Parts: sequence; C-alpha cells; structure tokens
Amino acid sequence: MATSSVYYEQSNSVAGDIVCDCASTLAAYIGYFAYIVTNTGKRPKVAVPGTANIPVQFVIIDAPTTTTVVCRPLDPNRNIRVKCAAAGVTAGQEVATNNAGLLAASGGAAGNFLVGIAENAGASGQYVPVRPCPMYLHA
Amino acid sequence: MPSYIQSGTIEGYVLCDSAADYKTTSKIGYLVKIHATQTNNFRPTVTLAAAETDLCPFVIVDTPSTSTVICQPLTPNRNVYLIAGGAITAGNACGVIAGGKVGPTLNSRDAAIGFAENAAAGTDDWVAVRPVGGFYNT
Repeated sequence: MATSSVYYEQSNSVAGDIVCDCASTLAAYIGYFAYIVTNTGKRPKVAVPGTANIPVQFVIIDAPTTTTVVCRPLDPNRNIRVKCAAAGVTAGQEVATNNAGLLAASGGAAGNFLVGIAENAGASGQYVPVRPCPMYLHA
Repeated sequence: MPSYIQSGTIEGYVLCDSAADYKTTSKIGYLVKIHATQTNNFRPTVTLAAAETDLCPFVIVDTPSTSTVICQPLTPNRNVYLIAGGAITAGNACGVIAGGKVGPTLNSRDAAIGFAENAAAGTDDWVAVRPVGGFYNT
C-alpha cells in the first residue's frame, strides 16, 4: 500500500465520508441527497437539491453543527439508504433525486442524471437502499 | 459519527437472492441486474441481464446455494473477471449482452461495463475489465 508521503499530491484527498459546509442547518435532511454548490476554501459547501435530475454527489448522513454536515459519497461499491419521495420506487428501478433531494424514479430523458438502482421497493418517507451508479443519460 | 440510517448498508461483496438457479448452471463471472420482485426484504434479488441496455451493478463471484449468489459490485477501484460473449480487443469499451456475458459491441443506449484490460479470444473466455459506469453514446 502506497503512503501519502510518496503520492504527496493526493495527501489532502480523502476516501469515504467527509465533512462539508452548508449555508444553514440540514439536521432535518439526513438521508437526503446533496450536491456541491461552492467551496469555502477548505472543503466543499453542499446543499440539498431544489431541482430534479441534477448531479448529486453525496447523501447526508449526519449534521454535527448548524453549518456543517457529514456526507457519504455515492460509491458503487457500497449501497446507501436514501429517503424516498411520495411517489415511491420499485426494486430494480433507475432512480434520481427529485426537486427536494428525495429519492424518486429517474426521468429517463436525455441529460438527466441517474443516481443508481433501487435495491428495495420503497414508499413515501422510507429509507430505501440504493446501489449507486451515477451517470448522465444521453440522447 | 455516521447516521444509524446507514447501519444496514454494506461495502463490498453482498449476498443476494437469485431469480433462478445459478449454482447448477454455473453462472460465476456473469453480470446480473437487480430484479423487480424481491424474494425477501433483507437483500436484493438478482437476475441475469436480459438486454444490452440493462444496468448491471454486480458480477456473480460465488453460488453458495441454488437460490443465492454472492455478488461483487462493479467499481472503478477494482477490476473484475467476466465471461466473454465473443472476441474482445484489449483497451476496447465493452458492455453487457443478453444472458449476462460481456460483449465487444456497444450500440447507442447500451449500458457500458468498462474497458477490457486484456484480450478475449472468443466466447466463454475470461476477460479482465476495468469498470466504468455510463451509457454508450454512439
């Protein structure tokens, strides 16, 4: 295993969960999708999507303060639970964020951003396991 | 401190129910997708890819019983050995074909699996693939 002293360019990168900044408390948004909106100079600043089918990189897993959240990256190697929107999802369905950061069926149209595949069926408010495979759908 | 909501998630290999008997039919190295009908609520049920556009997040790595399989997620961080559905050239993009093998041809809207790290001489050869997600845009 390589050490960070060898690959010093990557010494500030990190695998797995990361602390991000946020504009205001996201304590009520644990299990929601989040995306990078800017950078404070030290780390990404994230927000919950306000538009459907935009690229999201994380799911919020904790909110330790009113201005920070702990985010888990969408990684195909690990399933992740995401709070489901009112319409629900079915097992095996291609899924994306809705206009509130909740899990919903992918629009399936060109330019849409696909988050992954639902591993379980889920109803409104449930935390549904998703297998991430983020990608854009093309024309 | 990670949220308890994620406590049921797992990194790496997962035990899944299989939609058919993949032990007797020797489907190790085949690509599978998540089936719409689950056998139970604790894990996904998987089935062999039926079309080139199917999104297949897993490869079968073991078949402990006739109704379960152990699956390895496709991730760019680890190459995988897959069963070829025809000759594949090293370096070429490849995708799933009906039946769960990996094929050399990608048409528009096909689900890309990754890039071949070595050549496959023909059908049923093992081929090392570096996974990259996405749909192929011709």
